[in-house]
Amino acid sequence: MEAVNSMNGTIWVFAAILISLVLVQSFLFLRLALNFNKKNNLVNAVEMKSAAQTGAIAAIGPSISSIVIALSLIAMVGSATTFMRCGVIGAPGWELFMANIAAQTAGVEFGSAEFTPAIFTFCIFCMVFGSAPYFINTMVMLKPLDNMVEKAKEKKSKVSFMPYLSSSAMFGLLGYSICDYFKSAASICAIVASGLAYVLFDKFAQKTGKPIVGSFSLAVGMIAGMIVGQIITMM
Amino acid sequence: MSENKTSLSPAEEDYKNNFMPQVHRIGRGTMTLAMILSFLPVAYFIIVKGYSLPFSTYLAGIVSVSSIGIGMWLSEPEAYWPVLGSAGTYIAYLSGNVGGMRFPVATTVQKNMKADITTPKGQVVTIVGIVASVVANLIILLVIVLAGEKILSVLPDVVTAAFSFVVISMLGAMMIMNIQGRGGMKAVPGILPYIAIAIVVWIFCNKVFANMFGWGMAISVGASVAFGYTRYRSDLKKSEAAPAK
Repeated sequence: MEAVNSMNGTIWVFAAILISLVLVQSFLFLRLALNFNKKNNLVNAVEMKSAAQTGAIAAIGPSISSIVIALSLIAMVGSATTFMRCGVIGAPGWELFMANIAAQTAGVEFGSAEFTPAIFTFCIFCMVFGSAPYFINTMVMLKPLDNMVEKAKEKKSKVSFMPYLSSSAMFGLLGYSICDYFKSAASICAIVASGLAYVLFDKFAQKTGKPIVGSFSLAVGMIAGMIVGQIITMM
Repeated sequence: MSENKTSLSPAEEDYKNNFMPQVHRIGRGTMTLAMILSFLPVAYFIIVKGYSLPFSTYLAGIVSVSSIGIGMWLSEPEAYWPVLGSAGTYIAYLSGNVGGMRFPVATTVQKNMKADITTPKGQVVTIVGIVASVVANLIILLVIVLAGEKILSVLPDVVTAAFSFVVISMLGAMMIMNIQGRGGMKAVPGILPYIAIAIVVWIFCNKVFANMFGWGMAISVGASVAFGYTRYRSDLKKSEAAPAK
């Protein structure tokens, strides 16, 4: 940990620079969306507030869920690198994976005396390199994709392709992701429990008539799934 | 071109001619900057501090990371893009946690606001929601990084063990959320083929050809969309064959 500890302070500086970039980008997109909305009156102030609340609340569950992985990452690469990599670009699980590959490639164990500043630098490099190509992908691909959608919209027809696109992409993605995290019979129970809890809470939220209550539905589903999954595992 | 063009509403006109080009200008600019800045700490430690390793070690690192990442690098953003939209995808890939956070956040916002991402309204609320999630996530992450060990020591083992069900539970709830948003039980027969495709692709890419795993998500989305397109074509034909009301 000596190398990590001695470099941690410096890395906080770089972390701050990158976090600033994330905030600047978010601000630019937010300003664009708000100006566009002002000009065209698509969303009223109440809906806008509700969208922001929904986004913030829906982020709480997933943020907290990464705590366990984030902490094992801190033990390996320190707090600054963890913050830099998980707050920008990466996700805790992926970064943990990349850090391990780096150590393996260098033939060194985390926390050992051989884990020198040079090895740690190499480790950061592998984590950065593990996500950098995504930037190039988005820079190159997203504009042509949008142009394609705009072209499809211009075609006049009785039936629009858009609902088909969103349904098929959504369920192709969800179905695949569920398979990825499917581990045991307890997983099935967790899925069913979270789905049920979601439906019940969503009904309750609609009765209250407050959209803010509805934004908790996902979190309620997640907690129910966690409880049931864990109980089944212990049985 | 004998294609008929619909007259777009002023909002859609503005969306196409001003909003979208701006989205890509901001997105491409910030991503270029991110590309440079993310390597900055590495450059600093190697050049200024002299913490260097032989080039061959770096090459070995590049090769092993690439062999794992390449499939995802090339295809993952395209798999999330139909849900996040372009601005959402730019934000998601800079701020990270795409599958575990931006994807559920975008889905929840679109459902709560009853707005599809392909509409101007959907774009606006998705951007607002994702930006809110970026700020919320940074605050929570900062607390975890600074006080994480204390938090973890307070939590009983049972609770930390239950965290392993977080993602699957989230996906289960999202599945129901999306089924409800598309008409509830009567939408299920229409949705099942997409899920079946996803399962088949997953088995193919993870069990039959295990080295395909990086491509699986995009293949699954691609195959589902292709199937959706054939359905669209056949529904279109049916509606054109039916006499106009």
